[in-house]
Amino acid sequence: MEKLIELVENYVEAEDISASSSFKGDLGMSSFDTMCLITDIGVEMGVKLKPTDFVAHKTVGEMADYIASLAAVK
Amino acid sequence: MIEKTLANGKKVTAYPLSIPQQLMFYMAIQYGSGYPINNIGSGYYWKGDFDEAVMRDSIIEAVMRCDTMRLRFLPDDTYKVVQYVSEESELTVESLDLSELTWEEAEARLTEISRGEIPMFACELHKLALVKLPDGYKGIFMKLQHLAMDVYALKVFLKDILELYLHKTKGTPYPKPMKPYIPVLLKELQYTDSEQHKTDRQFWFDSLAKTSEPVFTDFMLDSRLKKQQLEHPEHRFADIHSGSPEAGIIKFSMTSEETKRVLKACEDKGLSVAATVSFAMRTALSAFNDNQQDVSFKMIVNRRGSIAEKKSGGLRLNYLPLRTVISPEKTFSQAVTAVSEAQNEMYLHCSLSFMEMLLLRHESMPADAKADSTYDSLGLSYQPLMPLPSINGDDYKNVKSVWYNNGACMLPLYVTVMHRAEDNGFDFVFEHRKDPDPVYDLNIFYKKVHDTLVLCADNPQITVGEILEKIAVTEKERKGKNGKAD
Repeated sequence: MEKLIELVENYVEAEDISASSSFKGDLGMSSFDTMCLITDIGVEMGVKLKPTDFVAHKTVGEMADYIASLAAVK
Repeated sequence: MIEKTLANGKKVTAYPLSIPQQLMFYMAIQYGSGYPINNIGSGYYWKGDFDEAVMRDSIIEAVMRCDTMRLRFLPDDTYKVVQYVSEESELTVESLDLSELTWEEAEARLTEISRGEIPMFACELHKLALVKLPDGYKGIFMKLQHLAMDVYALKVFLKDILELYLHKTKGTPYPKPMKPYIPVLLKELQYTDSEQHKTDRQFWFDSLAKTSEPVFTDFMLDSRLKKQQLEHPEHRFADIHSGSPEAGIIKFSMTSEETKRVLKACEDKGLSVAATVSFAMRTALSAFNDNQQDVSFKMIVNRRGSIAEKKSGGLRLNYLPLRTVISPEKTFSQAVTAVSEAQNEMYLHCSLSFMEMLLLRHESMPADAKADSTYDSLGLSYQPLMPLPSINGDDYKNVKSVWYNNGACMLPLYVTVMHRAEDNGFDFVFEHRKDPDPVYDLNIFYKKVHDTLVLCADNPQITVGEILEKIAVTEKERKGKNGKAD
């Protein structure tokens, strides 16, 4: 979670990013922003996400859990 | 990094141009000084007075906060041109009183200024002025060098000026700092040696060189491909780049009410507004070209994701070929989702240079294709609203945001879709080459784009086939093109 928040902070000047923060609604991230974040997650966390993963996992917490589950499978 | 010594003896660290800058630089050389393709002229005006001295101070402070407003270029034997950020600025904010002119005269004057040559190795690349216009409007005019600032950077810079002004006059919070340009530039310069470059190149090779041949779809009613097919029936690409880049501009405005309906439909259905605009554009191209399902055009992408990229100025545009094949039974929602998925895949690989993509595309084109043969008749840029702070306190009712035509266009048609500051309504700015004259065609083309958006907003379950039936080009529209209107 902390690593994901650290990466999200590169994209958003929000005061308070939490598990319940939604990427689009609360944090205002555009499609382009989320695609760049996918690249960063791949490089920094070693997990390859698809664009549709952000449709299924809309908040920081949901995405952190999903990334953890992918990393556990590897 | 290149160490350079200036004329005054000062030593500076300079860097090569980035890939987007190289493209703009070489296009400018190709077109020559008669076509100032690297000039961006714009104005932001509002009704009412403001403290001019404080506004000047705010502009100068914003210049010192934005590295690329102090960017300079130098000649170099190895790289032809290199760039560095000057620690000083000699920019003076001029005053222009055009209040006694008509609006048309004022626009003509500011357009003339926008087209004035910007010497490449000038001390100050940009020109800013406080302007008085008719009907009590006043504001800021900017003529910027595109190699140092693109439209996104301009908007961020303008926002900074206004926030500084409001801080000084009304005690609002001091704006957050801008970001340094050099670290972002270094990341750009390191890209071609990176793993990401290999990944991106593979993606575009698969998309462009290994796939089936696309087909050109024209925004002109008399398709230039069809004319060429009289001699070459096998051609699917077209040769449409006329010798002259001389350009005109037409602006079409969708009402605030209609725009609200479109945006609500996107929100209700969870659809990307950018993808919806692209969908409308491709549907109009389809309608113009016998309901062709396979439509391609260029997406012009800002490439600003991180805060560092968003707030460091510079030029980060890239031109990405967007191809979608959408069958008529797809609903609006399904079609926009397909467009969105295609755009998202492009965004993941958006840094490959336009020239590399062009070469990859040409690997699979027929042997008689020329260097500038294309499947794309137009380029599209969607710019989401960037809310600017209000100076006159009346919620943007009396605000004008103006773009001045620099008289030259790299593409036959460059469409910019943006939101008006005063009411968030869509403006569609069509910057077009003048030869062949597309004005009549573009009026019809915009109507198809507009009608597509409104039809879908009012009925998101509508299918692509149903939309095409309703927006079909009529005989009257075709006859009007050749001056044979009933």
